Amino acid sequence: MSTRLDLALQELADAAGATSGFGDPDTSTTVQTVARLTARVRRRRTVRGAGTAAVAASAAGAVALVAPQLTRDVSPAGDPDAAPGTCRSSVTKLPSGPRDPLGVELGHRAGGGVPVVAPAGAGEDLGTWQGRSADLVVNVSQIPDAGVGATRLRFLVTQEGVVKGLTQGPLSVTPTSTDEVLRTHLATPAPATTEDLPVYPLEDAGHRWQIAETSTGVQRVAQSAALGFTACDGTGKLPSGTYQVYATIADSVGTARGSAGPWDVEIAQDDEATSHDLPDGFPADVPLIPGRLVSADQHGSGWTVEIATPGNDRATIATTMLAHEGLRGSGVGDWDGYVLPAPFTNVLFSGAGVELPGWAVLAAASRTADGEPSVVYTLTRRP
Amino acid sequence: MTAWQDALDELVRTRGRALVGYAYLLTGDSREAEDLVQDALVRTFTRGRGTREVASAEAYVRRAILTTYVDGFRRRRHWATIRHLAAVPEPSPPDGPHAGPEPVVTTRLAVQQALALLPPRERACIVLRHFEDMTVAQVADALSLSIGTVKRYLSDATRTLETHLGDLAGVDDAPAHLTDEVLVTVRRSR
Repeated sequence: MSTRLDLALQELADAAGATSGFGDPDTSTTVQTVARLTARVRRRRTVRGAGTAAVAASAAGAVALVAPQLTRDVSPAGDPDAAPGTCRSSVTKLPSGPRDPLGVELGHRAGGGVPVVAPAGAGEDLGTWQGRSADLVVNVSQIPDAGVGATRLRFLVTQEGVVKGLTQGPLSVTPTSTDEVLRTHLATPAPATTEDLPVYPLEDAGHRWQIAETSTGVQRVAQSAALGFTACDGTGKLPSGTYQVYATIADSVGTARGSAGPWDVEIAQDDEATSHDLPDGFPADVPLIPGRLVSADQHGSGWTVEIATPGNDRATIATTMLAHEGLRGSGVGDWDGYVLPAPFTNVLFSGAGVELPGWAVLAAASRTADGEPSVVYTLTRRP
Repeated sequence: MTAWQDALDELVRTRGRALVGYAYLLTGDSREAEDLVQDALVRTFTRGRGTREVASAEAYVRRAILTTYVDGFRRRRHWATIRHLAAVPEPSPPDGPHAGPEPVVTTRLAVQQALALLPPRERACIVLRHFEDMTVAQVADALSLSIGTVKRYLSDATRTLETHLGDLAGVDDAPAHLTDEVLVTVRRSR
């Protein structure tokens, strides 16, 4: 008897595929795998696009020597006159040499979950956001010798290799340590898995410290930071789509030093007007977040409604929409001790949610049975 | 998501394991196979070849897997100098599609170990010819080799495999409609 080579190869391939978790639709790892692959493709496309445009720019420059009437606009490579790390500049101009080391880890707060700090450049994405900014966490462990004076951490929101938006804030050039942050800011004994690395803190008030878990399971201290989605050309919020975020340090005269990233971030549509096909009897004046209606059920005099919607900030947006319609109180904190952030500090808000005429409505981030991000509303009847 | 993202997602979910299986035949290592598939996916979708339907995108990815594997030939060349150190089992009991699980596993292991003895290009020729069911001319085209070279690789590879696996059925009976060249003639040792 003999071995059927074709069958043996097929069996070998089937067995290898079956034992591999790659692409298994039943595991959550596949979601991460696809996200990583998507980020890698985007980065390569960005580099290829920038490279192609750079070649085009070189060609345009060469032609311009003999034909100065030709345009100098080489978009989408960006404005060739823009300084590195500024609006409309190309990401290929960002400094990344050995004299500009920049250690930045960036993560995001999931929809109600534990913040995750991903190693710089690992291709992890920063989630999907519907509002005008993303709630990030940041750890800066190394900065270039940027000279004396004020130093700012600058986030660049880019697309096709061009800076479309930027956010920045003051950064201390004097490092502290993880232990010090834990003792003085968090009053927490150092967990065994925390690495004691130098940390350059953001100086502005409001960047609260927290412990964040890296993708490798090691815990770090990190600060909250907002990544704005306002276009730097003054056209308002950036259009929906996928963007790449870079971090850089701006020295006292505004020159970019070092760079880290990119991380992918998705800006989602934030259409205000979406009508849901709700059952009869559901209160029409309760504002609900746009998205796909998953369920709407009546329980006694109350309701629960689930709407699938993608943003990491979906609970915040849903609560903000409710707060706009909420009943107002006479002062801060006079309602069960719960207070919404400004400008809604006088909105009546309790453990049952935002107080609306006739209803208390609580909006919470959740996921559907299929794992799709969602918001679950709980409506409690008020007299 | 954009069209290419949807296509990438669907391809990974529906054909990811099949692609790993294919890559495994080339690399012989599960981890390396997964890395190879991921590199090939990135390569394919970066070049904008993955925005069509899944079947079309998969063909491009398979091509990229092969190219990436063969491009790495020189890096893996050192294997040829140490392969004699690999333990080779006795020829395994023959089996077929109706054999029980134990013989199937035995054959699988034997084939796996025999494949590991082949230089990368011979191995690629065997996989394309007998797993992907390509004609000799198609193999030559896929690997940018001459038909004569492919025949030689197939012949040498088959001889090596037969040394360790015994007679190989099916190496000379490819479907006629797929065959536009004289099939491999195994050169027997005298």
